[in-house]
Amino acid sequence: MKLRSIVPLLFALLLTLSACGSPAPAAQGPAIVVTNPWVRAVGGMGGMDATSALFMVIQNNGSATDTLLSVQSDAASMVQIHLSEVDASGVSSMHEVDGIEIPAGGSVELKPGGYHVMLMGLKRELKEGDTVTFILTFKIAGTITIQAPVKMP
Amino acid sequence: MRRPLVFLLSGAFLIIVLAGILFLRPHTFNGSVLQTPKREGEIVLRSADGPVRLSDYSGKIVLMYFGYTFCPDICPTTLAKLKEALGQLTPEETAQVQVIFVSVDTQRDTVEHLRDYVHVFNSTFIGSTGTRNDIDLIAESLGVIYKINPPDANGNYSVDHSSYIYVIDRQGYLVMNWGHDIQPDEISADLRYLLKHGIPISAQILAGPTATPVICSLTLIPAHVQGGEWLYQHYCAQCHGADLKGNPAWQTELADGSHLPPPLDNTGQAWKYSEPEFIALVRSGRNLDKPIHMPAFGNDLSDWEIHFILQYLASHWDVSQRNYQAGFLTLTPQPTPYPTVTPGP
Repeated sequence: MKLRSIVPLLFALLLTLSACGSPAPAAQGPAIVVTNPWVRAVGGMGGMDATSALFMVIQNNGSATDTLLSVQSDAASMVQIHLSEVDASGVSSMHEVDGIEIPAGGSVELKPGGYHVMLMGLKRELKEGDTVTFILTFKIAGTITIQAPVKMP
Repeated sequence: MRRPLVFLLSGAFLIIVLAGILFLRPHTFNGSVLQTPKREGEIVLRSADGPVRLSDYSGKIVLMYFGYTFCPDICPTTLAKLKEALGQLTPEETAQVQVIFVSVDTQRDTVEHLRDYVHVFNSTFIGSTGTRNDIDLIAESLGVIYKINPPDANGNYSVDHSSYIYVIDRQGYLVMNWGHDIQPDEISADLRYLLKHGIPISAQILAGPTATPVICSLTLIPAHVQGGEWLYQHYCAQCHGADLKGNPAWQTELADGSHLPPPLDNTGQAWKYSEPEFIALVRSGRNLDKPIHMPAFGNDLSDWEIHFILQYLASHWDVSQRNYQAGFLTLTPQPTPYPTVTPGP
């Protein structure tokens, strides 16, 4: 209950901080805007072998390329930024990347079959309707906290 | 005064033609149709609800996908698409489709975990795995590639794997693959067609040397079937029966090693012959030195006429039998486009 009332406050605070810390963007509002975040619902009770993923669209309204460096969440014991690829012979693979560059004035979509934020070692079951809090760390914009709903894929 | 009428008539004609093209448009499969469908051997896997045998699902279309539950991305996305695609079918159609998820990650994935994992999507989905040896045998048979990557510092590892959905028809033949970028409505459209018609011969023919998306136009060439019927009744029915049923005792070997006339419909084995083999057999006969024998028709029937007879026989076969036979067809492929009307099977 307490956490709920703190989160929006924290969110607002972080937004203000990030806006102050970054070089003044040409456009009004924050340089980095995250839209449509969602987390995939998974079965089972969590555990070290349970995984899920966070997807979203990251828009960079700033004048310089920014990079998503890392993501933290209390829902998983480990969070990594991953890229899924399917080669010409239809074999899919997945590997960790150092970060995702978001070009100035552009956006990057984290979606199934491409970039995603992988959650490993889930600390709780992620059911449709739940909400997960994430702290995204950017090279320039600093940290941004987002709330992502859990959805059926 | 006449002009408007001409315009009107040609306009009406155009509309009819366009409507014809629109409504009789052949179905285009959204996957890669296998040129030579492959009969899958007995596949036995383990699930939380007991053994999973492919033969238990004969009569259903089985959709197999290989992955691992640690996969947060491609595997759940594919299962979600399958869930959505099945949701677009009628309950009667859905009941004829079985989704089987096979984990190649035999080390991490328990059958219980697999059940929980797939049931998030649809409680009729089966989550299964097997011994490494079982998995490898199936992977080899279906052409599944997978590679378990070395673990990172935390002991986590990813698995590279083929991202196709393997479509196995009612008779247990692998007939098509869908790529990972297939969309739910494409899956349901293909399923609806498959449930109704199976994969027609011409789909095999038009598939070309490599597996490519194909347009299937028709199962059999009606004129050839008709011609074949006349020839059959004239040359073959006397022994093999007007109904193609042959002699009921055809499987019993006679004292001299010959057989009574076998059935030529779907209860027989005629579909196992390639077209050249079939033509050769009809031309030169069999057991000519014995009282019960297949006469040689080389002087009476041309290759094309035998081909017509084969078309007539094929009209009595199951889709899978036709598919099997189609893998060997030589005369049927014709460069000229056939009518794009699909005759009822």
